[in-house]
Amino acid sequence: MDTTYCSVELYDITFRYPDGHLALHGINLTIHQGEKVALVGPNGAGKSTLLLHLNGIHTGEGQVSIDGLSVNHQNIGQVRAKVGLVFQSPDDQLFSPTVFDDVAYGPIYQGFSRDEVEARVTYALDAVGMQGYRQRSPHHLSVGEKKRIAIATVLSMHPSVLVLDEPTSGLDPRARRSLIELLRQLPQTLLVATHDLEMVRELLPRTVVMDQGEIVADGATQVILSDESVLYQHGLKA
Amino acid sequence: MPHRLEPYREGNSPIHSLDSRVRVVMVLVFILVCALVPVGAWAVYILLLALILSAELLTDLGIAYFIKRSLMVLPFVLAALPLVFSTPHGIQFNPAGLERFISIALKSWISVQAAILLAVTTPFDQLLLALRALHLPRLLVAVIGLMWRYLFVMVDEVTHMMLARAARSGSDNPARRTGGTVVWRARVTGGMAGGLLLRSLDHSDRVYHAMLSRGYDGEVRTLPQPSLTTANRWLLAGFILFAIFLVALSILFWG
Amino acid sequence: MYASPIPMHIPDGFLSVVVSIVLWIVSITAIVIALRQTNKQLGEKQLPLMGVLAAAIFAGQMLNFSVTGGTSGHLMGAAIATILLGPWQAMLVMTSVVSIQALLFQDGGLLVLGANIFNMGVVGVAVAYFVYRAFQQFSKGARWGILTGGFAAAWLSIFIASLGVALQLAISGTSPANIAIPAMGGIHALIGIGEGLITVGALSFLLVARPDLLGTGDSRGKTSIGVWVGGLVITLALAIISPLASTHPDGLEWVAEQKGFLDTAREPLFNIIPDYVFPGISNQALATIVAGVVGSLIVLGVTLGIAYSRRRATKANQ
Repeated sequence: MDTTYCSVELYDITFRYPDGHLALHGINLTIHQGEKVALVGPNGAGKSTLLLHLNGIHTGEGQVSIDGLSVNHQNIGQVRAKVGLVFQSPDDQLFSPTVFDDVAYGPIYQGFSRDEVEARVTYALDAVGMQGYRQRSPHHLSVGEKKRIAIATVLSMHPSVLVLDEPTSGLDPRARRSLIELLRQLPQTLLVATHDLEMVRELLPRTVVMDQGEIVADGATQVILSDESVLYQHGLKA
Repeated sequence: MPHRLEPYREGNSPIHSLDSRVRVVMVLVFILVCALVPVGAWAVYILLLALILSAELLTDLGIAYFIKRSLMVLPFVLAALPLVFSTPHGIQFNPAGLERFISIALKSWISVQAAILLAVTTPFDQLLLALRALHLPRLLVAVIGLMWRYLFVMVDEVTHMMLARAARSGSDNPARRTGGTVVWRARVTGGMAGGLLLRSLDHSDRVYHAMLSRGYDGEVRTLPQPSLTTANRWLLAGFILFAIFLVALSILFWG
Repeated sequence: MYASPIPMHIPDGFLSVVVSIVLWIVSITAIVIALRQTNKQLGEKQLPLMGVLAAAIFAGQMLNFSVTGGTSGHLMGAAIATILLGPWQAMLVMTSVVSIQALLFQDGGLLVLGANIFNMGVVGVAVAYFVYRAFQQFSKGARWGILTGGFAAAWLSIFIASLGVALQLAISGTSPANIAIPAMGGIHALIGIGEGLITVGALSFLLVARPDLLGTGDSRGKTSIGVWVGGLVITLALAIISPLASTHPDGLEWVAEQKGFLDTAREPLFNIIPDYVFPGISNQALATIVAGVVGSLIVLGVTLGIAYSRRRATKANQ
């Protein structure tokens, strides 16, 4: 494995919310470049909180490294450009008046010239197959379209890691199918928090199970998802 | 299908294809002219009305569309109605007041048509661009932009809440007095408002995270605007000169 | 349907240019101070917070409850925004709400937008803040203080703001003071009750769900002392001036003064213009009307011509 290096490294992450609730406890996780990993677990297990650690929005105790870069105050901008975080609700992710403005947001903050911003928007919209939507407003889009645009908003930053929170929730079967196909084509390292075990089986060879702020299982998807006791114990099956 | 809240109507008319910054300034100047034209300057009112109707005609949306929407200023006209009957000597018919009343109603009607024209022919992002070009504080423009985006989310939420309330506001006995007391109904509505505000606070937290994760650092940054074309500059200058001329003329003759 | 149900948004044409511009200046000053203060208090978080909250207040104005005979109670939101966010952020939120209403829904005019921001954003917020803070100090943050303070703040913010609207209309010569002030004040004294009840409902909901949000003022008290005093002054001034103004029956006297001023300014201008205005027509009034009509006909004719040729062009393309 000397040709791949560590894309994401979490070392002993512990995080407590201001109200005292312990959300993460001693999380250790290493993801290699190009790996496609599922993060599963019951509601409230701490999945979303963990995702927010990957680009320094939450910072608990412990150490986060992205592409070998240890996350701290100085390099936070670099890290946020490397990690594309797609939130569960596209209504949170898409906060601009038009699709163009939203996809251009990251590149503008990265300080690129107008031409470069244009080029990146074109690239990102191409990647998600939504080129014709540049001037549309988010409120005129379907949920499936919004989810695609949400992915484009981080692809335009040319991230090396894509982190997605519940990408298939709220989608009808057809939109879900096309989103899975889209994710399959993306070359980036992928970490996907989800309840959609069907998608996990199909798309993500490695699965990490979280419960009550801790990682309780980590391994090949085939193995973990066929272990009934793990599934029942951590609320993945009922 | 545009959202029912969306005032913008697509089109490729000359009005639509005008630079939005020029359109915004022209509409503001037009409304300023309406305000400056003295009471009773009927000829000027006719001219202004002709101008705005012409612009409406050019949008291809049909004048009826504008007229219908413009009638919403009517209720407020009531505020000026007393002018007709009040004199320094008590309540009686006042011809000068009538002239003033009709003038106010006309000016208001013409102005609101200009505002409608602006709203239906300017996409929101272009409107923001124009507000920035007019040097409004960047932060305020950004707040207005975010507000517009989430207005659609919030209005849908309110609609769902009101539907949910209506769905439970039934009675199995038609003879019984229903609906509780007014105070109770008001407090239920207040609870809905409280819930809405609370959810919007959580929402703003998540939006904040989404912004941070794409590099937001407290600065409001935007792409530089293309500069106005020479033709647009001339158009704007000509329009402003015409406006000044019109106002000067009307004040000379009717002021 | 999306027009605000509270009849407080003045359309264009109802305020004189002088009043509009003066209130623009006042509002802009308040907005600039508010921008500085929120930047100090919130930093980078202020943008998403105020944007989303403004959307919620706007949408919240659509909430209603039936009162009787087809009338209904509504929310304007200045008071609840002030209680939840503190005065500076509330001013910006209300400014955004009122601006969007004018720009996109023609609810309130554009030239008079400064006045509408002043009435709902500055007066409404300052009065609500002053009243609510006074109740908080008096009740030491007890539940009854929050609820009664909320009601009083909501009611008074609507009532005082409506007196402001009436005064502006009177000064502009649009509505005689002796009619506008009692009428606006009377209607909004009733509307304010609906505002107050909804505000209390929202506050009791928040008291259960998130009581920490209602600790208003204590942390922000020092920086907002100016608003507190401002609210007090505005409340007293409008409460005292309004009855005085409404006993002066002639709201038009202001106009007379302005007219007189304009007349004196105009005379030298007239001397430059030769005595005739339109060739062939000796009556000056008639001449100008003819000029207006001729001008309008030309404009309409040109437009119709353009519209017609465009239609033919598009047909030819198909």
